[in-house]
Amino acid sequence: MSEENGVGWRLIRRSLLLRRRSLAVLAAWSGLEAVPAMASGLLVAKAIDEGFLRGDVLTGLSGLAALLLAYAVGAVASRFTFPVVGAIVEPLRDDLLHGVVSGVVHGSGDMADGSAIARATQQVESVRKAVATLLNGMRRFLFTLAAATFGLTALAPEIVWLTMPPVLVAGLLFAALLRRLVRRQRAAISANERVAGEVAGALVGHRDITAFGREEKIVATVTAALAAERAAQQRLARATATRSVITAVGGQLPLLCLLFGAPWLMSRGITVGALVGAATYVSTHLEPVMRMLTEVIGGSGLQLAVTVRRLAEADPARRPTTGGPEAVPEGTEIVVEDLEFAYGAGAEPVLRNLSFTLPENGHLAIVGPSGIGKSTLAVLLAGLAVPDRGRIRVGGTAPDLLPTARRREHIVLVPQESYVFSGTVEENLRYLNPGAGERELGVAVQEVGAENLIAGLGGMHAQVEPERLSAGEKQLIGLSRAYVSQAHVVILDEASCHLDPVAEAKAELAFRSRPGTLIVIAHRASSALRAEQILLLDGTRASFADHRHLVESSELYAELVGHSSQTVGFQR
Amino acid sequence: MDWTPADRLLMRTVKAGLAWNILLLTVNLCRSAGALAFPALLAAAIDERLAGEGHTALVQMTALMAVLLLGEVTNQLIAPWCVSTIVLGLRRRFLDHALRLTVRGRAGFASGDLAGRLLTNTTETGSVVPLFTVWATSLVVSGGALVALSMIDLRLTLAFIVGGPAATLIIRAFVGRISPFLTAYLAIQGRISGRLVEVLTGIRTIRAAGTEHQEIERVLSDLPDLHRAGRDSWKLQGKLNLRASLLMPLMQVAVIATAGFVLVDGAITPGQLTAAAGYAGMALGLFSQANLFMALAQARAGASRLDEVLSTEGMGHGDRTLPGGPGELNLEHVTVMGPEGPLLDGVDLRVPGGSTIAVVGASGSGKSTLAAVAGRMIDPDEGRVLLDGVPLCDLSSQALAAAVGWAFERPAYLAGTFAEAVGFGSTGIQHEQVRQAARAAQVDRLIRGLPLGYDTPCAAAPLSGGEQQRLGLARGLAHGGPVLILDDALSSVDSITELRISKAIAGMSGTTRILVTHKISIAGRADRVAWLDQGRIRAFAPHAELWRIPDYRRLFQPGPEERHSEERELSNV
Repeated sequence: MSEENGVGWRLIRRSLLLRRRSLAVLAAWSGLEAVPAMASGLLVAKAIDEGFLRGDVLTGLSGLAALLLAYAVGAVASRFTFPVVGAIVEPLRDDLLHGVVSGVVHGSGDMADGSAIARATQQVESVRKAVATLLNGMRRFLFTLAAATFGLTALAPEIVWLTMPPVLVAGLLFAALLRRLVRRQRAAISANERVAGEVAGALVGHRDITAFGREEKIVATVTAALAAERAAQQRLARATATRSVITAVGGQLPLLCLLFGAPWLMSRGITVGALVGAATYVSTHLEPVMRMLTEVIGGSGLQLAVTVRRLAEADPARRPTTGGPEAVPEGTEIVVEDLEFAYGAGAEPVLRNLSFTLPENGHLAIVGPSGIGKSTLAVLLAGLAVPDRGRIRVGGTAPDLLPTARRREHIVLVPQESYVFSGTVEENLRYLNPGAGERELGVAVQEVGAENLIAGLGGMHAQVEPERLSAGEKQLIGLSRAYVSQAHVVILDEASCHLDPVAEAKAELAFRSRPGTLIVIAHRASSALRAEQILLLDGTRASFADHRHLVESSELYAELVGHSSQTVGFQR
Repeated sequence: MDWTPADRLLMRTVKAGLAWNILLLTVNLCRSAGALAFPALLAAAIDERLAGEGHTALVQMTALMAVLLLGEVTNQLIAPWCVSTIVLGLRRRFLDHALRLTVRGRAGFASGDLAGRLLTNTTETGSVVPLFTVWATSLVVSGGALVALSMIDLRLTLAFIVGGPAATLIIRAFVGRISPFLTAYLAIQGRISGRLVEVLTGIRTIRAAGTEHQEIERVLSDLPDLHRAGRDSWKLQGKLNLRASLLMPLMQVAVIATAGFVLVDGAITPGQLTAAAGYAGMALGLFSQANLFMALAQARAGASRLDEVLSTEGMGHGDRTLPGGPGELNLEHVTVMGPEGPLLDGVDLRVPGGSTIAVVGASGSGKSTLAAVAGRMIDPDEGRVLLDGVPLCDLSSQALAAAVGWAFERPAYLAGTFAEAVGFGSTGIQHEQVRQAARAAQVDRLIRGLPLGYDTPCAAAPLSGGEQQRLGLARGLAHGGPVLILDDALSSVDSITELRISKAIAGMSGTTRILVTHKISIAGRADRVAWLDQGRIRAFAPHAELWRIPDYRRLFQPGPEERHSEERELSNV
């Protein structure tokens, strides 16, 4: 079993171990539930031998009445097992869901999209169902097996020697088959996921597929995936057929052994009633639980084995919490020295040899083509990643050493995709500064230019439905929220790119007139024109200067802003 | 009986699987017969053994068990094969049709919806094939068991008939009462995963603010409710299960007790008593016939959802090829109707071969519609579009695909490796051409920086919206056909990158380029600009000429305030 598999099983085991008491209660009810399995053969034997066969109907019927009573006891016990199973699997589901949610929030952020989340929550659900089914199947099998063995022994120990070996053999054979079953189930599921992915890709990509006239090619690709899925299912079906043979060995062979051995048993003084009673044990109790066991393990057990691996991916890999003395930044001067950063050990550094100093209350625009490392620099300045080499100081302190709770009091990073959650407008705005007063919120909204939006939403107390907001509207809320925060260093990472140029200018000016340092990663060149300092990243080197110097020293920059002045509508 | 299209689809499906069906039916009827004979043989075997009269019946019973097992295994192998063959055919046909739907036909179905139909409804429809077999065999078994029961003794049948219906009713009540609980449970679960998706969209904000724990609590705030709903449903299941689990043994005991009486009379043997219990169980199947009708109803529902798509009109093609001209596009009096009036209203436009035109206009003026008509993504309601004199709708699908390359604001189907994604629209493209296109679209550097370079699977390297746009652009540039249509395909590209890309596009002489855009820089570089206003061509002239018109300038200009502040900024220079 692989390492990541182990994580998933550990999660389940830990949760189950915490429910030891419930498990004990469940075992007790299961014992009672097995009463009919224990009593049935004995009572049937008694009813026949001492009742019906002797013409004593009353004794026969009283035996059957006792049997009915046993069934009643079993049924009542069975009824009480349900809430106990609930008391075990519902907390398990809670634990798993908690694991998935913290995995998403803390994790590496690789969860590509919403559908990955939907899958993760479905997996939690299927683990819950599978554990419940397995728990029920296993306990019923074990208790029924014990009860029937006890009953058969009570009828005559010889019967046990005759009927139990096939059950044992079947158990061993099934254990041997299990590995192959798991493998094939896994293959079938991944084939199925591939099909789902291909189909979704083809349908979502409809326009582009048609545009390039590639329908036939895509149908062929998807059909190949479908055929592979079918082949995987067929392989699984073959393994399942083998399972039926094993079930027959464990379920039906005991009956044959009993009947073939009947003369021998009768020669040892075993009665007609005892034989019918033994047949009752074997065919009405043992055979069904044997069948159920292989079905449950072959179904839910396999499902669990496959899903657990996925769940392991959701195990919260916590970020190392930074220790050390509690540093508090003084002032807002930003110093960057010989900064180098790469994503992963082998990768080409995204930033290299970068140095600049931004004075207190400065206003910096970072300009450069996509993918050049602007957002990476923002993340480093906000202390969300640690430089590989060189150093960053914000107010004299390394930002990555700030405790997370303190960090948001000093530095706020507003990313391009703004986060608006279902809640009131107010809650969204107070996100970074829970203590902010009504007036502060009002000022922020007005300064950033979100008044009309907030009014349209129905005011501060209105409920926000994120999916009904446009990207620009979300950005306005994100910007207002950053304005409300107490942070003195504000980093806008293309945080206004979905606003029109007028609205963008208003928002930037709002932050500029607010005390503290403003760093803008520019989407439009016009953002650079507003800044005091400009950091131009163009891949080969970085230039840090003001607008006037850059226009003279960088052809790229000159072309960019020259162009931009036309974009915003001037003719010189 | 009135056949709906869905029924006809089901009938065709059954016919397609007729041979399979007959095979399945044969195997399963044999199994039923065997299953029916089993309790009788068991009784004979028990009696024979108890009386010490040899082992003829027991050997027969053993043989029957072997045959039954063989039947079960055969069925387990054939039934899925047979269904999956039918389903595979259905899925292929469905996908093929779905991909050929007209844009308007397709607009009625969301992608997720179509995927659901393709994956789920085909399976439901295909399951109609073994349904008849299942129905026939279960009827044979349960009916036969009832007959066998009365053959042993009529009194046994009576005991059965009293108990049976009650059992079925109780089981059905179970399904009815448990479902509201399940619905509530699912609703809470949906809320939780909805919030988790929301968190994902803001993950950068959350990380930056260090509010992870707060967010976990917010997402899981409904967890106690979910817990309660789950626990309640277990309790209810326990209660309902009590009745069901009492009823079955009650019936069995009733039959055994009756058999006991009869045994006293000496009318039946101890072996037959065991057989009676067996037959009673089999006859219970008679009351679960309703499930089969449910399955049939589900198959019909599935088939009707498939039919909805299959009966929606697809895009047709002619069989002509292009004469190999310069790539001159002619829109003649093209009108495209939208749900609220015309999207394009009698547009006449002649685009000279090898030239570049920009299509500009306010949002909703019909720019994308014009692009779609020009490359026959859609057909006009009136008028026609000709490429080098050939109406686009007369072109074969291959000729059309080879003629027009596209890039979109939001490209889709960027699948396979990066090399495959860029070369998607071009048959037999060389690697060097792929790289050239990627360089022109400014994604070469990005792709080369990936672990396997151009051989990296797209799925392994999630791209931002802007990067995807440039990858889609590279795909369009790699196409190399006489016509290239860019529908706002540079919208997310930053100014510097845009500068480089538009230079590359300007260098593609020999290709007729239609660039839908909001950007002045692109309009400025085009040979001519088609200015659309409410579905009509307001002007078709070079940018410099149009620039004199205030309305035209306003298309690219922000409001007066912005101009003011920017002027101030610039005066500082």
